[in-house]
Amino acid sequence: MRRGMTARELVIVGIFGAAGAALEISVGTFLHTFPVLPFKGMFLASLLAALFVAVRIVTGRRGAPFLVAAVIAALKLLSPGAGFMTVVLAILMEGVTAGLVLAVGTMRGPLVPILAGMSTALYTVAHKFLVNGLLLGSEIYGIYLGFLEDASVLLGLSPSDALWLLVPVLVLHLIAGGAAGLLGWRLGRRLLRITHRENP
Amino acid sequence: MRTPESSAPGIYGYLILLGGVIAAFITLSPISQACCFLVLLFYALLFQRDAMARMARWPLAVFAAVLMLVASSDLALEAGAPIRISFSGPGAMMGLGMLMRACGIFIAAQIFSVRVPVLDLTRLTDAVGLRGFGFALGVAFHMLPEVHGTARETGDALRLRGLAGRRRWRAAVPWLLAILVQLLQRSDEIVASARTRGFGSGRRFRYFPAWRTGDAVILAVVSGTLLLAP
Repeated sequence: MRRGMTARELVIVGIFGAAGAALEISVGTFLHTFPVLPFKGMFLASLLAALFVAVRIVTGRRGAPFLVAAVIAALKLLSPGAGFMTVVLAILMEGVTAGLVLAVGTMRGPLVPILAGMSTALYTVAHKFLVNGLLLGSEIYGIYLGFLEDASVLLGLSPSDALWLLVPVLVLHLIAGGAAGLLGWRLGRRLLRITHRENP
Repeated sequence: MRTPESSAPGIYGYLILLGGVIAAFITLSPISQACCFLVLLFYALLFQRDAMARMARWPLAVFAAVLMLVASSDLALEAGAPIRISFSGPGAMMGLGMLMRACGIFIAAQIFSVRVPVLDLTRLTDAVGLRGFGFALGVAFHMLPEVHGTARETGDALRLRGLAGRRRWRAAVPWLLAILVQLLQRSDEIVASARTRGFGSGRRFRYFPAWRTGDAVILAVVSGTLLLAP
């Protein structure tokens, strides 16, 4: 059984890490300058999910997505701006989420990559709650509950009914993540065919 | 002879500082947290001005303003009646506490990212057994400028072939594929270059970054604060 990654596999991980970091630093920094823009995290997480799936297919290694996420997070540490720590944590957790799903499933069909993309996109919904609890303390959950109660009074709904307002948001995340997983699967298979043709 | 560099904190000290700040804001009482924040702020303003300068961005000001507004507003809602907003003193204090906690963690994280060289980070991860992470990170770091250049050239080539304007979205996947293929074509020469330098020879070199006097000082201050503060 192979234990460590070969030099070529590590170089491929580095290349995918550079591509992901370039996406995060350019697209991510641009999007994060607009605080009120919705679904920024979902969009960026979906792009990264596609990369995680592609690198898993190209290298054939279960650990590749984790390593790519760590490389992207380490490179993101170098980019300026306050609040980047939450983004670094998000990248790491998205890599862990996608990597776990990709590690337990088979890459023959698109189902597991689609699930990996969905789970990565869904994590962004949970990320705000988890990280804000760490950053701002448990008092923030009281504020969130207050929002829910105020929204339910304004809309004339009970608080449990107001939670159903989250359903369209979750569905949107599932669609975006699934599409990204499928894109990553197709990208990875094409890259594998092209690179094997050049290096049989 | 002890040089000034060996006295300044290194990767261990800044890791301990970051972990200690997070632990302080979780475990200590509000007054102790406020004292820790003030000490951290003075330390950052006196010795870490470049890290503080990177925090002077307007999104942080917007974040602080929104947080204080939300925390200190008391909404009185009744069905069919106009919404009444009043100022809440306890809410404002709570908002101030949350803001202090967030800023403290941001400052510690910013100091870490400014002061810790990537090389030390990769040495530490390689030494603790994350084999290959340092090499992959080094490859990524050096490929970053090439990614931007390749992306721009590939985009220009696709535009020359008519994939522009409304059809640009159809070019997204070919564009991404072309960038990755061009970068992967360089992988063999990178591997050959690494192997001539002994990478992958099977020998492991454990090189831990040096422990410095500044690291010991930070460890003493952080552990003393966490153990003794109420």
